[in-house]
Amino acid sequence: MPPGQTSDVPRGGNGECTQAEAQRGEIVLVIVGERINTSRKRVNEAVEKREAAYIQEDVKSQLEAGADLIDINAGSRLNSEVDDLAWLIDIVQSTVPEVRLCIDSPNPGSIRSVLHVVERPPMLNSTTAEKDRFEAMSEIIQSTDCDIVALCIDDKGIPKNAEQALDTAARLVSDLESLGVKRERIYIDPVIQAVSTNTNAALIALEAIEGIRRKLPGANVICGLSNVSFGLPKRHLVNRAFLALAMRAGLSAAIVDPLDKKLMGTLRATTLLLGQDRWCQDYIRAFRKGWLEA
Amino acid sequence: MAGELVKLLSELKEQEALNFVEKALAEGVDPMELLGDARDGMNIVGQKFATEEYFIPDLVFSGEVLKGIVKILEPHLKKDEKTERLGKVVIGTAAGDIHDIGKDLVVFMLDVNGFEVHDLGIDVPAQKFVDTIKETGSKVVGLSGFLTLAFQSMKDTVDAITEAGLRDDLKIMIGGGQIDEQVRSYTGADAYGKDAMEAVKLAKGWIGGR
Repeated sequence: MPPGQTSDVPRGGNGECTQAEAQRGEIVLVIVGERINTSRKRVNEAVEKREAAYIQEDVKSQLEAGADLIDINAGSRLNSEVDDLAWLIDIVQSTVPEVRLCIDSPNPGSIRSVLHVVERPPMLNSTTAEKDRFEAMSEIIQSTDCDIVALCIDDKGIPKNAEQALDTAARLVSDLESLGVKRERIYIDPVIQAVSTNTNAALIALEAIEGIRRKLPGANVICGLSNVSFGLPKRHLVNRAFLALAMRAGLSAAIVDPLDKKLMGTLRATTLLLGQDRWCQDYIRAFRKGWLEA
Repeated sequence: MAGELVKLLSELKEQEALNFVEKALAEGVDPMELLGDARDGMNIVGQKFATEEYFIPDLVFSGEVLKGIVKILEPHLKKDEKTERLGKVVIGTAAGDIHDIGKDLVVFMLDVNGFEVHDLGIDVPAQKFVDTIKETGSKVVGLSGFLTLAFQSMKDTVDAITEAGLRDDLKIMIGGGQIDEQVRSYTGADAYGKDAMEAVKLAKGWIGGR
């Protein structure tokens, strides 16, 4: 069963989705840990020098802090992306065999080349509604058991308003379903724009999230948090405020740095305020572990 | 009174700046002088952006204020004054990439600094660059890209320009969040810039010394 759905399987690290929650049909935010990305200097160095221990420790701490999936991205390593991805996947799986991975590359070919080393059904990040990209990803999606991130981008580009995003989302869901992908395995990314160039960008995104959840019931909505604050000072503050709003709008998964205590604190506090943390147990447990930072 | 508009615009005082322009025109101030002041004001905004005193929204806002000023000035400018430009720059986000914020800032700063900018938009195929260079006779090309896959497209675009026989007296600059010297050398571009002000500096160095 994919994460994000009702389940009585314990969730990694940050507490369990309780039986009661499962019965009420609650959905808990799925955390995709974003740290293993070679555009980060230290990770790039570790990949370059094949420092398995550094990567393994980082992944363990992400899972400990509440990550449900670990994103693996080596896209910045132009000439060695496939080899590097394969190495990363291998060392992460060897240290945490139960880990679920999110294979992250803009190149469908790279994703295809590393799939055979992935042990558990991965999340694939990502397809779009662009004709070429969708076709290239279709083959891969049909060949494997996976969750799929689908960006609301088509050949006309990024949606300019919530309606356009919703249109693209509906097309993506129907096209993916016709490939045999179950709706609950689809994670729509409405592609959040920066408020620094459009004051209404966050409002548009929130409207898109609400619309997708309402009009495409069962489909998940995922997003990264850092785009929204691009070009602003103290970006993390804006990211955190957006996370809370997006969760209320119906966000089902977020690609974040689970070691960012302030962000994770906001996430837990918001979960609690949305009535999804029974007797505040997850929040209090996180406090005891020293994971909460105001 | 000279310099007042520079100050108002650089401090993003929209209404005051617009009012000042109206008033100055009514008092017979040369519209070209006001346009020059506006340009100087925008340069200060650009500098403050480069030193991180100002942020992207400030820059975009200053552009809106400038638009308002130009709209008031336009009917008072002679035709040749409007079209006087330093040189032509072709710019676009490389094929496969759709990020436009950085590119738009560069377009904006080049425009403000007097270049004639041909903005090809996002996800621009190499051939489109080649065609536009031929059509416009531009001597500077700017390639933008944030995604790592844009690096390959940038290289492909530089190669296409070379194959079309246009590379020799042409300068190519690249920019984008993750661009560094390594990427520049991979793509075969002449230079890379960290921000929009650097793009202006590069273009001025190549074709627009003033």
